Amino acid sequence: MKPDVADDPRKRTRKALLKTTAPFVAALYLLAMGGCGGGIAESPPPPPPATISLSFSGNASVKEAENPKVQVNVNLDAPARGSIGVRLNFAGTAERDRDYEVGADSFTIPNNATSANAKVDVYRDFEKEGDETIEVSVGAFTGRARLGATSSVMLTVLDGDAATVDKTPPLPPESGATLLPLLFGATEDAIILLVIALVPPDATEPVPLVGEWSTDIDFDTDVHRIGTHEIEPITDPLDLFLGSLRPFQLPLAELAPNGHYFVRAYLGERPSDGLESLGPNVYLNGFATNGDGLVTVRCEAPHRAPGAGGGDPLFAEQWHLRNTGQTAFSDRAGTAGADLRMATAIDAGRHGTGVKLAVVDSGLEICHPDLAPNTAAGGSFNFGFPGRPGALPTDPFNFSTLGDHGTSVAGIAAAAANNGYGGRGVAPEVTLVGFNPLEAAGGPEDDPEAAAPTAMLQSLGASDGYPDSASVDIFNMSFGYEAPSENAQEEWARLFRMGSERLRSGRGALYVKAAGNSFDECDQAHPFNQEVGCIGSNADPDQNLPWLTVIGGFNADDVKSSYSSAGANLWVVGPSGEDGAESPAMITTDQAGTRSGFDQFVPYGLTSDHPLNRDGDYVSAFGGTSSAAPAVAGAIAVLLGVNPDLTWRDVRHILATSARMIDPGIAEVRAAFNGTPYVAQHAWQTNAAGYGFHNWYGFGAVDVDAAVAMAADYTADSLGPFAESEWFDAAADAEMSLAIPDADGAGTSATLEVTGLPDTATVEAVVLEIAVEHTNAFDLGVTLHSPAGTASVVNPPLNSLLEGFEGLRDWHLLSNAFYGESPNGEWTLHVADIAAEDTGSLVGWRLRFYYGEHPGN
Amino acid sequence: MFRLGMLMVLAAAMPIEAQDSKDRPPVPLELRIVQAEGRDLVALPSSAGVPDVLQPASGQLAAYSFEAGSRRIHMVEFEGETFRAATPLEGSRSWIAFDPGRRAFASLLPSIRIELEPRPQLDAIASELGATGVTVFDSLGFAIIDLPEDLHPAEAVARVGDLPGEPRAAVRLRGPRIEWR
Repeated sequence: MKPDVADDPRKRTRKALLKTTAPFVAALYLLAMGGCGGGIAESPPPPPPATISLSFSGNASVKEAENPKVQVNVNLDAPARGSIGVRLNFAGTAERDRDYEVGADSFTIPNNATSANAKVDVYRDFEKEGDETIEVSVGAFTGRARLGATSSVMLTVLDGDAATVDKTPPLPPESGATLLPLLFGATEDAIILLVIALVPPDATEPVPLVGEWSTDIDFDTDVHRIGTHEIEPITDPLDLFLGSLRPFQLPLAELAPNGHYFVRAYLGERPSDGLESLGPNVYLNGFATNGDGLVTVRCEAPHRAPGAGGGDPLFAEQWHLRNTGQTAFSDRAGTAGADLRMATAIDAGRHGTGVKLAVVDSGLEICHPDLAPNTAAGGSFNFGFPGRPGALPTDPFNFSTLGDHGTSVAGIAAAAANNGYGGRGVAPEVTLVGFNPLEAAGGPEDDPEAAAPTAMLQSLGASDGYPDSASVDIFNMSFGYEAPSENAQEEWARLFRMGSERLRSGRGALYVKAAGNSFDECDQAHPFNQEVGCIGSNADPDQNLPWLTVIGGFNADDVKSSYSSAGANLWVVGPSGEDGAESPAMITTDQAGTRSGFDQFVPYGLTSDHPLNRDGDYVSAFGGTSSAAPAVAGAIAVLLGVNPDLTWRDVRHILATSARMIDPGIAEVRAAFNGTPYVAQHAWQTNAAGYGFHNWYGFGAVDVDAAVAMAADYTADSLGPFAESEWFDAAADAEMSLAIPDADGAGTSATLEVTGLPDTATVEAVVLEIAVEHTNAFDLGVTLHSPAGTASVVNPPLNSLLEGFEGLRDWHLLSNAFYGESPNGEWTLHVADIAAEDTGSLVGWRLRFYYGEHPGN
Repeated sequence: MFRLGMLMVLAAAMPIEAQDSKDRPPVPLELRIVQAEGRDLVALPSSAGVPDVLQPASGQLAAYSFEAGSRRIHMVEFEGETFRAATPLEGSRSWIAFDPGRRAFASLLPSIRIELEPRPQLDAIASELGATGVTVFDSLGFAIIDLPEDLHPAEAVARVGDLPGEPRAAVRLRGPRIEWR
């Protein structure tokens, strides 16, 4: 039915206008109506004003703990006629800008549009508030619209767990008494065991310290006493640190030749559960005797028959090489594809041929059936040989029979392929050498820690004679230490700089370093510890040097290994797995023999009862970032085998560029403190140069096939000259003291303008030096923002290594997150204190850039 | 038997307590300042038989070092705090220094670093110090001189600096124990 125009007041007005105005006014009106030749026609009746209603995308109930971002939809029941302005009102029990933030609460719905939306960012916090509400309603509006029935909606925010930062000092070990091993030494006629005993002052009587030996690792049978000491309870606070040093000496004359023996010391009651009793008050080690009754201190090749089928019998379970969802001798399977992605490299015979890899570690079993084919004759060095009768200088044999870390590390990178034995390494034709610098000492009475620093230099490229480390292409460093607010020592900085500049004929050696296993190494002081970790990879001073390639670990499910330390100084991650019991760990070489090696400890997985490990030469429960590093070192060997001209920077560039993003959905770690949200760890970020980065993963998981493809066509040394800037100082001419608000996510910020670096400069690493005066650096989170807007948490808060530590003392913190960006522009430092009570100020900071001058920029 | 050199133990900010040295007469000694890792450190004696008490070096820092039983106790008062450490007297020395910048004690290695530019006479240095070993790192631009057991590294650095050509030497800090990962 056609409506009667008289019913429409607007049409009545129009008709009246036409009747009463001059003709030219009528013409103007026609023009305004969009017509000039059609005459005056009867228009269709205008639609009624649009009705405004509100709704949420998703549930009207959200969990605060998930940092939810809620979309409020402003809906029209018909397209807008002309623009409509809407203002939203926010009320409810939740407090705006403390419990949540609104992106914009006034906006315009354009002509013909039917909706708009507002974003409500709900803050996670750790306050006990109870469930709260956010009531959103339509306030003022303009344009042709009217309110609908649902012009107000209610969002319920379910409160998360309350938490405060627990600064209670950790309790001492339950047993009270503690035993620290200091030395396990061998002389011509004795085994020496040296331990430090600590008996707390609450003990009422002296505690016996007992030394025993046995041929039974469980000490259930054939147990013999070496000696006993009575340890007095310690009352002097200094002695709590110093402890009581006690030796045990086992004469070899008491032992038979060609035997395997175990020695142990325990403090207090005799352990009754064998290996399961190992704890802070029990120390265990083992050794073997040779035919002369002396301690076996050199590698003696075992007689092994290769498997009838040839190949690598354990390859099918080595998930890190090709993850098919196998269990790897653990209780459950991993996820297919969670591996090094190197199927093509394996098929194409990319084996690292012609590349020399040094495993700088506890030792190397150069006669192991699966390592011997790749060990360079005479290329290894045994720093312990002067003090170990019968040892050879080129045989870094570890005479302890309870597992040799270096031998297992080596197998991941360099176990031979297709020889009928065990598994295979990532680079099964690499040339392998081993150095054991921590064994450096003149004799069993000398202090190995005094000699080790020099031996380390000799092992890591600074010696071209004896040992020869200067000819090494890749150094695997599955070791480290952690210290609060410490920087790398000058000798180490000079070493790595030299190695990167001079070795490999100036192309630079690769220093591949295990990030650390301290992610979950603390009593959780706060829920944040579960998300950002306990101790970061920045806690190892050397890992804040730009010449090291720091490697974290991922597991067979393609997410971070539970222990793998996180940090902005990671480069990439490699496979390292979990514990090998419930889920896969790494399958690698173990000390040869059923009575030597880690496999003696592991009652699950690939024991020597397993048909694929009858000789006890392998283990399926190896792990730690010690595993990730050699996996990546092996991958680098493959790359250098493909393109030997690659510089150390080329290799890193290829790894970063070709890495694959894993765990892509990992959430940002954020919470509000005193009403201001603070990000303790970012989600994956893509920086201004297009590189994705995450503190758990660096640039991602190594993808060997992608890297090989890139390396094959890569023009070596194409990144331009490498340069190190001077320090850019934020307050070179002025005293700085910026108070850091206590327990407040707002923190304090400072900026620094970087100018004068070449326009062609692209960042390869940024080192922050920061000085903070604070009563407890545990509270502090440090974030650096680049001119391009990339943010990098270089020290997450609640770093347990800093618990109780006063301030940050010119600490160097390296970030790789800005790789490829321009260094010029304004950098911003943000320091937040998220825990109550302790306070302090930012008193200084500066930046140094390591950059390439890429000619293409 | 194994020597106790590695057992240097640090304990920061512990309260001063009555010590059995309080009856001993103080003997003034000059505190020796050494550089390590770009910082100035105050070297402390560790040997047996060294006089017991060191006088305050300045208004900011005072150091005391005395023997107590089988060990030597070191106390440093710095900016209102007292720092205490002990080193064993048996076996080889545990060389110790106080690092005001880090407000902590530091342990010194029984060796020193000699810069190779300008070219020093390493033989003469080794002879002067009675070195037990010399390792030259040409590519790194320095040499490591292993010291005899009773020579304090700070003393060695000072003696090297007095040699013709004034070779540049530095003490070396003992780092935390390295662990396999």
